[in-house]
Amino acid sequence: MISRSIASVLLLCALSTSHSAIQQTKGDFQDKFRQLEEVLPTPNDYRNAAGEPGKEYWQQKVDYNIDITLDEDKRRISGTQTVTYTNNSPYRLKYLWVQLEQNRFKKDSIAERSAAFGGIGRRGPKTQLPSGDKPARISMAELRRNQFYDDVEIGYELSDIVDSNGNALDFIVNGAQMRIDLPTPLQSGESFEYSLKYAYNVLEENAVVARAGYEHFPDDVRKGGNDIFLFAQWFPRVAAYSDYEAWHNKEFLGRGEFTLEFGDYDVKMTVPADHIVASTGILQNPDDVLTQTQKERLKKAETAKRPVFVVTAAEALANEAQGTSKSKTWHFNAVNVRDFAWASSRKFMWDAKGFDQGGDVQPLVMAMSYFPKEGGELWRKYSTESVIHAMEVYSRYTFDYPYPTSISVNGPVGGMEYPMITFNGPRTKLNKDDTRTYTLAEKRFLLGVVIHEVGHNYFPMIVNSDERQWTWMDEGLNSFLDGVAGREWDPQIPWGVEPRDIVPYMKSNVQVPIMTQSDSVLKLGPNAYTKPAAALNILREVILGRELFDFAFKEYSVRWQDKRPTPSDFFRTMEEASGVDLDWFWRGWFYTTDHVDISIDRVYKLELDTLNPEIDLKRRRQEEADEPSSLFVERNKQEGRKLWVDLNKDIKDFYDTHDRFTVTNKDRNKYAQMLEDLDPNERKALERAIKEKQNYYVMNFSNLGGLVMPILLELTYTNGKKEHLELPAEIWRRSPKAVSKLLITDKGKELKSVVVDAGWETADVDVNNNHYPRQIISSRIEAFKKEKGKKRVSKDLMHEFETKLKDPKKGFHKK
Amino acid sequence: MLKRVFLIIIMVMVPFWAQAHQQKEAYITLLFNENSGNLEISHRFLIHDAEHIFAELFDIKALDLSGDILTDERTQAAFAAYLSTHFSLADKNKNELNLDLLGYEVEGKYFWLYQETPASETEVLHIKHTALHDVWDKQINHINVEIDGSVTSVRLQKREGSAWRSVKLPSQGVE
Repeated sequence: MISRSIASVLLLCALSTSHSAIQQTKGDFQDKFRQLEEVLPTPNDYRNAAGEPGKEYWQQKVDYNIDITLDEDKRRISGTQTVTYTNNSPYRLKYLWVQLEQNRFKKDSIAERSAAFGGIGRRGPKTQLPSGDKPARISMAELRRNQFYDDVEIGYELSDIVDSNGNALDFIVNGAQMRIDLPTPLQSGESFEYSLKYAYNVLEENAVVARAGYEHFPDDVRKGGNDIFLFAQWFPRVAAYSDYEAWHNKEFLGRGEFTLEFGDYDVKMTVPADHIVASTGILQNPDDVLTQTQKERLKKAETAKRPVFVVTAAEALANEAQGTSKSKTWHFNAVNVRDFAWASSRKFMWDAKGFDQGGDVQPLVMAMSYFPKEGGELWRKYSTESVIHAMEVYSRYTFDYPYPTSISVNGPVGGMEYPMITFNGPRTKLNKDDTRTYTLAEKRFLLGVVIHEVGHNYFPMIVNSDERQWTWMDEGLNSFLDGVAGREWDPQIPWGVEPRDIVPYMKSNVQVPIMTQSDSVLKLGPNAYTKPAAALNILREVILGRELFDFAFKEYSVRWQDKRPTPSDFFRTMEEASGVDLDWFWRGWFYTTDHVDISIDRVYKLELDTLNPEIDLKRRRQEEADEPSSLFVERNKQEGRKLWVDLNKDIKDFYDTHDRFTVTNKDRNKYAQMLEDLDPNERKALERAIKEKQNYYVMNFSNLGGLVMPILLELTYTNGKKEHLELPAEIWRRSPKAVSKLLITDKGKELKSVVVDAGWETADVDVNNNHYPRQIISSRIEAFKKEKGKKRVSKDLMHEFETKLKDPKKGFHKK
Repeated sequence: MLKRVFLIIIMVMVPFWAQAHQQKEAYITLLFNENSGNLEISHRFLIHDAEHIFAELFDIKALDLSGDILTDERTQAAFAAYLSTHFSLADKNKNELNLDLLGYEVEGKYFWLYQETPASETEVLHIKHTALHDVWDKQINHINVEIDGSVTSVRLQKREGSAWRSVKLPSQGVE
């Protein structure tokens, strides 16, 4: 595909200057500050050089009207969709591409056929190659997955694909995509409506790992148990069409996630009458599906201090014990969203609390959680509250949360995001005594995942970047902000994205640049989440400062709210709004695999010559006298050897009374002439320097990691005082491997030691070379040996506290 | 050719945290420490990963462990013992090295385990690290071998099984 091959050529340019149109063909100089213009796409009227949407910016609009029915017993949904596609592009379209993600799980999909045995290829259960004397292995999970595949027909069943007049449309299904050919080309500004019928068997999430599906609870009181259903990628979704990639029809392989067009949704879902439905959008028919009590509780929740149960734990337990043959239809409506997801179960309890956001955009947001008894106290106390915390923090750095609801649902998915609704996995565990408790780590995990997934409303649901191509654009930005929000929840909670967290990854030799397409990234976690988040943390705290960074980051968010940014739009906006050239930063952190390792190699002191022979020659004489004398001479003295000159004092000449540092009139004349020849300003400078007696130090640095960064210096003086000095990254611009810096201090202020990045703020991978004079730095293990016993950070006593007191076991005593 | 396929009964896929957040990884540093003359091994595992795996690996109820790695010392000790039995090093002749277990600690979100062995001259190290692989298919044990400031990395995944993975060391070696 043309658009993408251009992108890959650009990437190659960035990776190696030898592939660039502009090449360094002599010597080994690397221009770490080479401007990115030749790497970034050329600005145009759709996205301009400032990183803003251009004056001709456009995006398509796709509206959906869906009527769907869940057959709980068969675990199957079926229904109809009517799609209205509005072509806002300046181009005419002869066909539409549609994403059919359910087909990605079919056995004949590219994703399945390209899954290497014992290798990478798709998410989910894995297999293992034989090695040495070990046989090949297939996991039980893989067996379960295959058996599920054998038992259940997978993928979309499509029929009746017709235009608004009922005329059949030509189409072709190609794997997890479908092309619908339009009867006549769709001109710019025109809309086209089509409809289709579809059905599919719901995947078992725990068997297939699909970001959605059902989870079965066999132990519930109701005969046959119950399910939680999560629906995502659950309807044929028209692919995005953009100014920079045209149709985004790079097929879903299971990892690189999604982007769609914004549009309006009208969805009716018919489910068993005792199910509670959580969904993107606003409920249109509360009178049909909620009881009077539930409606009153929802109203009360709007202003409550703590979440109010709309469906209580007892009501949910009663629900899940019974079942019904009746059904109900829930009707939701969502305006200007880029996707739509929902969940349904009779197991759900449901709590809600109004978030008083203020402002004009959406003054009241209902934060809500839906969870089974397995969520327990953990969910009751923390889910809805952390939904609100996420919105409070994110909105401060971006824009007001624009939707009426923000939902957290507990089900089989670890963590996944959709507009207004997120799926979050952490739960309590059931103890022997039938109580449910959770560890402190599990609590932190719930808080972390809810904040992260709710944060995805901002990136990429509203700032609509394309995770299929650039995972870091939403995961990296979102991880950066979830670190900000997490540390604002409780600074004791040590999550967040500190530069030191990424050090082991960055120093390794098995990694790819951040600017790599999602399906090709070797290690998605550190590459697309942690490294970009740590980079932004450093950009904010070290390079730009909070004021400049926060302004620029907000500017990016606001510019691209409800629009579709690319990496270059982010890079350009951050530079343009902060007024700081950051091309070197993007180049180093995003386009290479360099790491930070700055060494301070040497510090030496200079002494200013006065040029006056009376002073300088005396100094030279003293310097020579201060040198240790020869061991040979000393031993001769000890042996009592007499010198010839002492034994023959009758022979003397001029040189016996004048050494080589003797000032001659010739020296004096030369000095006087030099002073006379000096420019008055030069003479003044010399006189002042001689009078002030300042100290002159030269510090030598080398850049061993390759990544240019500011040099953060901690200077300690002999009087014990410390100073901090930051040398900007630009110091490396003409000498990227080694630089020296002059430091002048006042008389008496003598430098004792210098430390580079004493606060571990730059992800410097080797601190051993950060000290001058060198220090013996304890390795992690040496330090551990020195101070054992710092092990415990806190104690979670929840379960132990309830443990019954026991009489001690009878001791064994010798009599 | 017919290959033997062995089914492992204990393996259970934990579908968890996979979709939209960091994936499972541990970082292990093998540092040739010139000051001490030792090869120092620090294992860094995310506590949350460890806890979930722990619940799969151990019969917590039978052992009367809380399963809370952050705070319960008996659980920590059990996990440390587990880790130390799933990591081994061998010299170029594949003679397994004797590793001293120095201890373990919790620091923030990480569980650290420390081992060491006297460093000896070798051009090749052989490494096995199968911790968490028996339960978690996705787990990557990322090993950085650091010697004289240079880093050589290997990423050990379940698919490599329990075969030795060899790491060629830079020529300067340890004296």
